Amino acid sequence: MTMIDALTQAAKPLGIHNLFFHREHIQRQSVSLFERRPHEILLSDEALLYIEGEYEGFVGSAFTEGQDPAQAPALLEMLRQTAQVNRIPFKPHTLRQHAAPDPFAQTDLTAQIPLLLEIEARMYTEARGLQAATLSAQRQHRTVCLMDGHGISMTDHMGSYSCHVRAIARGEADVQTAMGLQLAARWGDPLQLATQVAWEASALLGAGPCVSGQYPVILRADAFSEILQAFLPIFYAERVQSGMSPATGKLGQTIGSGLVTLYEDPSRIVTRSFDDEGTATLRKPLLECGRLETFLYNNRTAQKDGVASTGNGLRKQYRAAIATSSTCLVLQGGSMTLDALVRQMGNGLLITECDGVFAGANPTSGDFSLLSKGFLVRNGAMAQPVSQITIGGNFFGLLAGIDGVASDYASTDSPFDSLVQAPSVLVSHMRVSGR
Amino acid sequence: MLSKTTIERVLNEALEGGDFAEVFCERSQQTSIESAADRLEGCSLGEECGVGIRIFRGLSQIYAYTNTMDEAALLRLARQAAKSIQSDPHAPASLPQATQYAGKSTIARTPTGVAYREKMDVLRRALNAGKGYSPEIAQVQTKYLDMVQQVQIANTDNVFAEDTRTKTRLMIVAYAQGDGELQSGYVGPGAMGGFEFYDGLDIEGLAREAARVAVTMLHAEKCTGGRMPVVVENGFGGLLFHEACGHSLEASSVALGLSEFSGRLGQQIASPVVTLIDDGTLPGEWGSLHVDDEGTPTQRNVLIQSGILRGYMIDRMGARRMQAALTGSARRQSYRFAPTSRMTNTFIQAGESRREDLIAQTERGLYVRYINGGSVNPATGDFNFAASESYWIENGKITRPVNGATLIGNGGQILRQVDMVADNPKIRQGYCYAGSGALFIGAGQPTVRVADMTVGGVQ
Repeated sequence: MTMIDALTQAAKPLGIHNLFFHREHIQRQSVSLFERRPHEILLSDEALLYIEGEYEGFVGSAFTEGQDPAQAPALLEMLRQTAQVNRIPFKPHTLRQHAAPDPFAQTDLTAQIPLLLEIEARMYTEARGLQAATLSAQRQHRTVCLMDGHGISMTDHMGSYSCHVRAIARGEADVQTAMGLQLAARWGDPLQLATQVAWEASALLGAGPCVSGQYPVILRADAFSEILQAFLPIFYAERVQSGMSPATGKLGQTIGSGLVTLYEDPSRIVTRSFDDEGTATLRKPLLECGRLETFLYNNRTAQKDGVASTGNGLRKQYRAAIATSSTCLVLQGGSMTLDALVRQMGNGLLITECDGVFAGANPTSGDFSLLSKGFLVRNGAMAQPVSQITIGGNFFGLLAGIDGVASDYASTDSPFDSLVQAPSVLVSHMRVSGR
Repeated sequence: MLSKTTIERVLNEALEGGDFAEVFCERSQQTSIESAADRLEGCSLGEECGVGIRIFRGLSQIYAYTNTMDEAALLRLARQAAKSIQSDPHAPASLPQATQYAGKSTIARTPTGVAYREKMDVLRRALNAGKGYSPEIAQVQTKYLDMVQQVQIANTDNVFAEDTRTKTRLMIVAYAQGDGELQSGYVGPGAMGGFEFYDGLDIEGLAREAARVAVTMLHAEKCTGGRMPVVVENGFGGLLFHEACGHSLEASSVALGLSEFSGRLGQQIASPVVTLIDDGTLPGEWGSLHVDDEGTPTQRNVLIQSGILRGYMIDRMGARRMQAALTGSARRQSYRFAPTSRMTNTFIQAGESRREDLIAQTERGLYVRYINGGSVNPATGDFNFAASESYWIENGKITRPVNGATLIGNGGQILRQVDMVADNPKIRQGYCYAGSGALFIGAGQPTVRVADMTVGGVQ
């Protein structure tokens, strides 16, 4: 007997009805190299279950990672307690039968070890002063299945490959690091990324703080993607409705420059055809040429504003309550390369990395102050490495100050939700604290 | 949980791929309840359980995990993991009787036996007190957490440990709103212990403290950055040292030669007023454990003594690389993570200065009362953290509040810049996010002055 069978059988005699199941199956494989040999190999296989049900007219819930059907009564008891105390009226889930195809092609990453070792060796030959390099390739695949007590189910699959590269360069007086991430739906050779990261670590040797002041700044795609991701909660309707977002009252207003178009695309990497409430997802703009077009809604927040859910009722984890999140948000790129954007800026700063974004970016106020590094740009060319500085400002000021958008793209490291893909952007001026 | 025989079988299967094998089995009952305003945002009751199998061959590691406890499935997973690396012949593994650590702490009220209603009451009390602090408080968010984690840790080095870890925590965030601005204040007390923790806790006082910070920051001026002396208040200000040098003293970077402090034992790396300790044995502390996640009992580790580097935090793989002893520092969030060296409760020992003197002897600088969070790059030592409540110091006095301040620096340099340490040590609770997941940690210090530091601002 499966856990779901055991729960279904045991529920009715306890007065629990209308069971709803959120199941996930996650598999991962990863290979990490260090010092020219496999340093760590990881394999995993998880089956996760969250249940909801109606007890005395109220909704209760519980979760388990166990597979033992004997645990079913204990789970149902938790469900009953939460229903009794929380007293949230039960609303049935409306599911429609749906089974998305799973086109994910599984590549065995242990078979890629020779290639990765070769790439690691290339990193040492192509950059001066490289002390160490780490390469880590990961495959991740997730299936989400919603199911009601009548056997109606909805299933989505998402899978991707990521490759993290880190390089450490040692100079006469300092140590510098650089890192990069490649995330794609198919396995791809990370050679270009690896050599770029090795070069960058080496080029940063000798970096130090620049003079404090206002600078034109290019936020390279990887740094900008992370900053955008940190501020996504600004667009969540639940935060807007409770006044916890600086975007409150700004719907329909222009909050970014005309170059800023930000849209959600649920067909990229985080492929979801429905959200965790069973609502169909859709491609939609959040910002169109700088104008705030919509907030992100789940069923509850949509009802409060008298609009339809935007298909963003997602759980942070399989066992958490429905909140708001997104699949893949994309900032529309321009037509020029990063090099051309650097030439356009002429003089200023190219920021290649920001640290501590989770602590230094405040989605409640929109303010940020982030430890950063990169290069001073003079006359359209990288002139001098810079580290130990902070860039600071307000998110809306940042969006409004975008004067140029490149065609390169980077992704955040979030293959299952809240993924952001963004290009490098030129910001007319930002506050830089250094020496 | 698993029988001794099953664990031995899995270890033997795993040994086909290496020279060392380990099984970590976990069953963890957890409660998480979140509320915002007067509304329950969500509750999560249930159990996390699974098994992690780790294999070493030389300096390579294989880690496999699953959440089935079925012996046949575990043997299959162990075989699959072992296939990744071929091994030399080995002797069959057999385990001693399990060492029981569960009785080492007294838990008066195990959270699993406490009614859900009582846990909700804790949140209600915090919510009401926070809301009542000021009309400027727009919202109070609260979160209640508890965990009773049963673990079995066994390996082919003759270790077989069983423990039950009980943790409980309350988090309160208050938001103040006015003139189009929103600012927040946060407190998050926690303990290694049961629900009795709340008997001695001033829940209302803590909620009012979170609200006070939010209201103060609402009326604060925006921080303008620059270089200046910084006085960091006692308590979670210890995160400064957690980031500035704690991570760089973990074997996970030291053993690979990737820390600024690799190979520097016995050297003066900090000002003589700095003594840094990591202690996983402190009774009742949030970051404490009886036994680490590799089955080694926790201990008090003196890392820096009067400025001289005395030790590192070393896990089993780190010990292999460094040919050094284990320090009871191997940790993981759950069976989903291979363990690695991490901090427990890390703090600066009390100094001899008085707190008042640190401020009075600072002509112009920043006073940081609370810290929000931060991060470090152990290879370079570059660290950052965000201040959640700070003020200017002018002419030796704390004056105007400032918001949006970020402190950045380099661990090696900052340690030498600490010129005064007060006599008022305090430890606070938090989470640390790194390679083996999110861990409960303690961070502490007395009030400390850093003579020269870069402060990042938002204008």
